[in-house]
Amino acid sequence: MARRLFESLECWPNLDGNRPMLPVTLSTLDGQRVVHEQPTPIDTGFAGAMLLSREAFSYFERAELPESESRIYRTLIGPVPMRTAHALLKLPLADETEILVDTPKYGVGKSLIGLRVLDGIELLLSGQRSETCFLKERSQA
Amino acid sequence: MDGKVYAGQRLRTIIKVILVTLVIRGLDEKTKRSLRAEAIRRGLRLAQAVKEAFQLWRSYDQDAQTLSERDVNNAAYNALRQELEKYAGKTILIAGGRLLGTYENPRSAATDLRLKAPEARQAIVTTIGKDKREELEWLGGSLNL
Repeated sequence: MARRLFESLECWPNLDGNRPMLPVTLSTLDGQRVVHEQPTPIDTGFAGAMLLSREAFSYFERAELPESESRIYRTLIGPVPMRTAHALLKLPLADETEILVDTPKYGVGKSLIGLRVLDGIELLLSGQRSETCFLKERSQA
Repeated sequence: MDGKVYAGQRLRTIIKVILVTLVIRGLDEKTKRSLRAEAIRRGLRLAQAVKEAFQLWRSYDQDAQTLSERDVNNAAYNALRQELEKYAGKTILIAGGRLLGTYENPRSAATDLRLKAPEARQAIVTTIGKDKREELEWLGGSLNL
């Protein structure tokens, strides 16, 4: 594979020194801002876009999927049914995109960024520097 | 004088003990044991475990109104499901147990919800044929809900 060069555009220190995070801005579909640049941990084991706490999810209940179409997560302790809703996500240096957010149907949940969000961006998880950076591929010309 | 001070301190201690101790009568031994075991498993003191359980219980209670609205909307969606197939690719909006309209995208549906049902606390916004149930993976890490 050809060598590729990246430059880091912006970096954020890890949460508690060891949890990679990104500042997240979330809005409802009709533009009401719910969270603004909130440091949110990244969980590469979570295949969805974002998991939210029950409290944060309550702002998105006016754009929920039907229960029969809401997601189910396969976990080591069995399936976890979710409530799923539409939301608008804005990451630093990226355009606002529409995503689906989840919260556990049972339980209080927590906020984290999953793989679906990472799909669309170039990211460096730097263990040595304990920071997470947005990258841009540099043209080699 | 000393005796009065001592009595005052003792009274405060007694009040403090009363405030921090909760006696639950009639709780069977099995429940008591499993509550204690679960608290230990989660690394919590018994009081913290009871507090967390209570907060969870209360969060469900606060949600009661939304739940019933959600149930009504989901019942409407399930009743209309076959009929909605003709709107494949369109976004539908259900609030107050009624289909309020079909739209080009979810954002238009959300904007219309503000006009047609501003009081709704819960609504269904889904794109027919696109928003299908997915089974995804959630490994290790943040599984502790």
